Amino acid sequence: MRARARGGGLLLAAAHGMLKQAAPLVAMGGLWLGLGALCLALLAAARSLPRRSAAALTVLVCAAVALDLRLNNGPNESTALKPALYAVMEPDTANDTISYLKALTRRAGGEPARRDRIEFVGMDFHWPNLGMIHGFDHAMGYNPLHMAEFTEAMGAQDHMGTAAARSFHAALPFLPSARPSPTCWACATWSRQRPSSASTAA
Amino acid sequence: MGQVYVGALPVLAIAAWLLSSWRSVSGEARFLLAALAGAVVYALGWYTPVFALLYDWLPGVTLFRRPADATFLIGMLLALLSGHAVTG
Repeated sequence: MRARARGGGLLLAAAHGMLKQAAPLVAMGGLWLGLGALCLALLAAARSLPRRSAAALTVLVCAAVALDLRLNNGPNESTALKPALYAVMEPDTANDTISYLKALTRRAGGEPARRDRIEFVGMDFHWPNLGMIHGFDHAMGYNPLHMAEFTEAMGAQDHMGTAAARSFHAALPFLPSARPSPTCWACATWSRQRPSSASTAA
Repeated sequence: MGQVYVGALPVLAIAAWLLSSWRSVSGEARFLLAALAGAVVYALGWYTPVFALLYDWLPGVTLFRRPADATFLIGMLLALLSGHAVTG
């Protein structure tokens, strides 16, 4: 069954012209499955051994499993990134972009009440959520806890990777249409668009 | 999002256990298997017709927007099932 799964994976990779990239990974997977099978055999053998030997074999198997998870489930290019990458999430960050945006949205005394919105588009995963820390109004944050009512009202999807992914509900006339600021490269340009549906991303 | 890979040994142990003793699986293990199947279907989200029904009719589902987060449950269930498989 495992051989057929690996074979299927190789066929799929070949169909997309990615066999060269997939083959080493599939081979590595096969090695780990082989190690897993060996561990299973050791566990089965341990049942008929004296207690100390069985305990030693069990420790060996646990070490193998730990190594498997450490290498195959551990930090990768998407996780356990350097803390410096997230320095912009400090409330008192000196990041130039945040400082510039704060200056843009600062309301001087006496000005009529307004709430400028900032939308970070295609800027990693933590940038869209900076609004919670720095006081920006950002409706399209990367937030898996969007409730259905909020999604239907704001058109907020799971994440905005491109400007085309914005959708704003036309039933909210109090949200002003914004014109792009040519000097603000971090701000998205948007116009009111009716959301395609109340769909939520998986 | 939770990791789905739980290790080669648990995967092989569960596969071998089910293939060799499917008919003698305990009630508790059957519940865990059913829960695993449910978690997988839920985690697939809009790629199955089930989630649409859950989203429209099951209270509370609309509070969460990422069905793939059910992978956390999948990891836990696989851990429990691998214990059943190894102790058999």
